[in-house]
Amino acid sequence: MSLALEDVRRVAHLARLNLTEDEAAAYVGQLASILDYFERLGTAPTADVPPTAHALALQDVLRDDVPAAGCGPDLALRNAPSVDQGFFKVPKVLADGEA
Amino acid sequence: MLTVFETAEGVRRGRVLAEDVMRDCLKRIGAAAEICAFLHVDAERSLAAARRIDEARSRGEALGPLCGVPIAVKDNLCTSFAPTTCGSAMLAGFSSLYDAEVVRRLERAGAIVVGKTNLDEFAMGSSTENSAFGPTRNPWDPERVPGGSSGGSAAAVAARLVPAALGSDTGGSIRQPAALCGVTGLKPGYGRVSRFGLVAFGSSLDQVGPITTDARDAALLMNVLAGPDARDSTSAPDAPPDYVSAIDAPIGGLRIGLPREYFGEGLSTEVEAAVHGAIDVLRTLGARTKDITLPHTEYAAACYYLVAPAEASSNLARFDGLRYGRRAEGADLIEVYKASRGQGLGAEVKRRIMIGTHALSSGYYDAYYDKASRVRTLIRGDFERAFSEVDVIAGPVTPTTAFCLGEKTSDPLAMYLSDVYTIPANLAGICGISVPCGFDARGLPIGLQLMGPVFGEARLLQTAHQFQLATDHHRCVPPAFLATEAAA
Repeated sequence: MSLALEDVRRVAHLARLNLTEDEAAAYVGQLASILDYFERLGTAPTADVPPTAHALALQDVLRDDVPAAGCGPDLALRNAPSVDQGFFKVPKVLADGEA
Repeated sequence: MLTVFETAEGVRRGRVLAEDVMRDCLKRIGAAAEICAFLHVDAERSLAAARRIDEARSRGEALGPLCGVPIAVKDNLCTSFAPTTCGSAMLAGFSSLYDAEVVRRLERAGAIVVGKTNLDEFAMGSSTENSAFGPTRNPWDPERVPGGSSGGSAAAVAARLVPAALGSDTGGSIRQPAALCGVTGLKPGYGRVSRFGLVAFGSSLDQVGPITTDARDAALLMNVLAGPDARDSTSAPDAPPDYVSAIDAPIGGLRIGLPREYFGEGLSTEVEAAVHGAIDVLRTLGARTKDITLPHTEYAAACYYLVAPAEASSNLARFDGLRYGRRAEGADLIEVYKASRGQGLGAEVKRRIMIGTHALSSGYYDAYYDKASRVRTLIRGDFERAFSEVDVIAGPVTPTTAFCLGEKTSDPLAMYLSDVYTIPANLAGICGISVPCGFDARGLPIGLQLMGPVFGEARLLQTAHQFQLATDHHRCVPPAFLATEAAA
């Protein structure tokens, strides 16, 4: 399967990944050969076969809705790259006038 | 070095002090720094924990089944007392708020988590070369890989730095490095061991399991690790058996299936000969063998390398640089995500996120992810049919012995195919164990794989233990580590 540089760039954008020029160029060939390998699935007889998303047929588990202690703001913020007045500080999400 | 069994027994009976065991362990780890098995070792905490066990014993308190046993933990298991990096620059300096359930169970049983072991970044890889902190080396030959992704854990046990370690196995990441390092590695059936606090890679495939020098130690660890956990909704609700008491029964009459597809093209003649030799040993112990077929094996690798990356692309979306992990500058929110992930994640992780994103994207979902999910049903069906006829399936763990560092890094597909015999068990959710069964002409270890049905771990451990009573491959220590072994 042939894959163009634009295809790699499009998927990288969907995956929210910046790629360097070298990375993108390497992925063109590598991903093409991996996608080629996937072609063999085409011959698998799956016409009437349901999909398996999970190995076990487990039921959803519900617990009693009982309040428990949380971890508290100091602990929750322990690994935050940027903090302001006890909150995670993040880049502006909405453009001006969008709110 | 003492086994897990001997260490716990020695500490419990007062024949050795937990503190002395720990000092010896830390000395070995320090002397073996060049194999880079560990990313982090906490000597102070470990010694303090050992002293607490000695004090508890002197007060006559009851001690746990793993009392005083130093255990290494793969660094994708969360620890509140030590860094958790997943081998990724994204998580350099990350400090978990909580402990993984398996870590908690080990320490409650008296074990001491001495450090965190190296791995392929986010457990994606088969050689431990994808760690952002440098590769681990195979104790049998430092120019070769230890396998992966639990390469640090397998190397640490093989070099006798610790009696046991935890790994995680999504497509073979416990069994493959155990085989390449000559140690015993068990992947429990899906749901047997809690995944709470295991940093998710492929959530429908991931399982935590023990890496030890022998099957008896694996059974002892499984007695502590296995069982339901209210915080893992995929953990199986049924109580696990007593694995230690299950291993002593002889295996006369055991029905062992030999799948044709695991002995074909691509399997090295030396690995094939050693595995056949091991099967002969099992026959002399009274097992009966039968040729079987797992007809959809040829699709397993393609199926896995769609399903696992698809799950990974979703799981790793959380590493966005906002609440934890590396954050890079960017003009707007999207650019911050892209720059943080672009800088923080390594080449293999990005490659898998790309495959997964592509497989799940509009227009490709049916051809890739949906098709792979249906093939997964066929592979499960292969094993269900096989286990209606046999108790255990035997074959190789890997097509070859340990390959050289750098040998497969430029060819991702070749690296992926080194997992071809271990992947099917994860897709089907069944259990598998790697047991040392010989060496090639270079002196590199070879593993025998035994697979059992869902929750058939006791039978696997029994078979492996009976095999190890009749053989001594598992007692072989890498020559470079014999001196430290003898001195201790």
